[in-house]
Amino acid sequence: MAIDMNAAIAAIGAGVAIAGGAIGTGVAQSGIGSAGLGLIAEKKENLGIVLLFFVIPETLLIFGFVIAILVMLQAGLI
Amino acid sequence: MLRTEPMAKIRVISIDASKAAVVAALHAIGAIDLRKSSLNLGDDRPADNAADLSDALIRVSGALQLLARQPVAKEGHRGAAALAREARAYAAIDETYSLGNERKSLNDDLKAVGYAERVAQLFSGSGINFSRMASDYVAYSAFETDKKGAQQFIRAAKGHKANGIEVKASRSGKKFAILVVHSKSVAVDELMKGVKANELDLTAKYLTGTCADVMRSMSARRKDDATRLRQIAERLAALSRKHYSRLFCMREMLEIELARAEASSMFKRTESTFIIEGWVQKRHVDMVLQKLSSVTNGRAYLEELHTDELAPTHTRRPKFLRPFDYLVGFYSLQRSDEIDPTWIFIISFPIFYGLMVTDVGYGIASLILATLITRRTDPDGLMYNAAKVWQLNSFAAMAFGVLSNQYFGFQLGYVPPFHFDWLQNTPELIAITVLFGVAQVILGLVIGIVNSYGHGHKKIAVARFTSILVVAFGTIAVAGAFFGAFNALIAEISGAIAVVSLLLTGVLSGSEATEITNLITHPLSYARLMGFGLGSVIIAFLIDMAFTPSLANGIPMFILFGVIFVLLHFLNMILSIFEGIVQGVRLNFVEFFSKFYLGNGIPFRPFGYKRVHTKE
Repeated sequence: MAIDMNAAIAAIGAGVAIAGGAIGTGVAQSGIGSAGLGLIAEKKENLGIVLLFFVIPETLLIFGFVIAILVMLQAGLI
Repeated sequence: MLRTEPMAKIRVISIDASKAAVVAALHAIGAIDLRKSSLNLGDDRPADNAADLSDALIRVSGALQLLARQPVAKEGHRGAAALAREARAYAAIDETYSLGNERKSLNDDLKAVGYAERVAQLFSGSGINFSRMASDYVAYSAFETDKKGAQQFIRAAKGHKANGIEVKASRSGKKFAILVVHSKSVAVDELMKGVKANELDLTAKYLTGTCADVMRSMSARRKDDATRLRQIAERLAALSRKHYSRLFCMREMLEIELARAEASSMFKRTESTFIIEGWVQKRHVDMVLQKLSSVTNGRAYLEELHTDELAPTHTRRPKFLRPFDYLVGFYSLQRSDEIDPTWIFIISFPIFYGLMVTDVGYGIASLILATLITRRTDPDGLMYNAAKVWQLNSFAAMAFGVLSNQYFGFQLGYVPPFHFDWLQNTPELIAITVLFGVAQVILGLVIGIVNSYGHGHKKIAVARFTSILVVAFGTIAVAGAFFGAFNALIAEISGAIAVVSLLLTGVLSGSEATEITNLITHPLSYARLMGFGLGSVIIAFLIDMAFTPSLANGIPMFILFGVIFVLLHFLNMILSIFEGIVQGVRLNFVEFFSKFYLGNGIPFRPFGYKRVHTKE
């Protein structure tokens, strides 16, 4: 079976976009998570606010996801 | 609809003779949030009986803490003087306190008995006599440790034998007890450094005689204490059955009377009149006036004050939607002078949740889970209110599940109206979710413009408007210049308008100019709705593909696959639900509210009491 190089590179690009977003989110969440747990240990009423702050960096992953979808659309993969 | 309840600040003036009636009436209707008047007059003080009522309330509440909960029968309200007298003379309260104190000292005694038994047990093999441990020349120290600790200690002590140290070790199961006889000048703590051991108190209560003596006498004492504790429990149970209901009603009545007695500390006064100020809902002003006129025979004067003070925030919504108010308040209570976004939150949150969970089966399961949580949590707490919102959101998850034909990842043989398929309509869905984001972000900006204008920040209102123009015309210019979506003339004109708007925004408000990047990134953030929805659907689809149990593979495999199938769907469901709630809240609070929301409102706390077990 012949491999379409353009499609293959596009698929790798989409994967890199998702991976970059995921790594960025993970790095940001590690800092927020540890600080947030410290705050909850002091005052557990802050759970809701900490949870909210914790999910904010997930936007990076979403951007990665959007880029991946756009790349795959452009390459005709979906 | 997009405003909190309109409030009015009122002032009530009446004569001292009517004070009790006015306070009782205001307390009964629970409509006014009291504020201290800024009039240059003397402060009123609490009623003379406030201290008596406070003592009585403490006395009754303390007794109720000791009694067992019983069904409560409603009682008619009694006056403050009668209540204080009744609480003082209530003999069963004295008996309850006496029994409570005795129970506490018996429990303390049982702790001492347990300790003595433990120490005696530890030394049971050593033949020591605790009564002979008082000496003017030598001191006795004892420790409890494990085998390793005992060995370490004996080694350390060997070097000190010359100093007159004598060590006795005895074993009780896995525990080791060490008795050290030493001269008073030797610091045993030094020897214990690095050894994991608990020091035992040889002077503790009941440690007299030999270990066998202690064990025998403690066994008898424990029996006596237990018998007396049983008698106390029986007597307290009898007292609870007879008096709990009455005392419970008394507590409610005393709380009411005490609140009334202390209310006047918020009033101002002249020689023979008193002045009350506070906030009431505008629609209640006439009702308050009528009530006060009737209880004072027309000798109450009420006026509406015109003030620039920020009114407290009060919202009125159907009961089943109030948990949404709780969540908004949990973020930060809306101010009374800003647009209340709760209705928009009520509409958008279930849609977000529904899109992200998007499965009829998961929707039903999440409804069951949320209902279970509401039954086991405190109605005033975050968990309860979040679960109530979650219950309502579950219906949205079911609705979107029907539209996308998702039943635990399976698809049924029908095509509903407005059908969409997560796998085939991915590009359209991502566009729809981002457009949803554009709509909500622009709505947030428009609300921000209205708020800023209302607060007199006209420059910021205009800057917000021009920032919308930057994004709108900038998008047209880019679409025309780079993607050929519009002709060159339109693209150039749009580009020029965008640049002028950007400059204008920067001149009017630097902070609004820096916010422009958010206007581009925030709508994109709504793509998460599609991302999480698609993720959940694909995982469910893969679980079904790999683990759907089939009898063709035999009964053991059917059971094994069935268990894995249920477990994986459960995990996927929990993940979807968690993301649905957290991300749904986040999109509202971060992407939407940040465009306009001020928060930090003052909660409306009317002076009143909700009677449960008593009647006026």
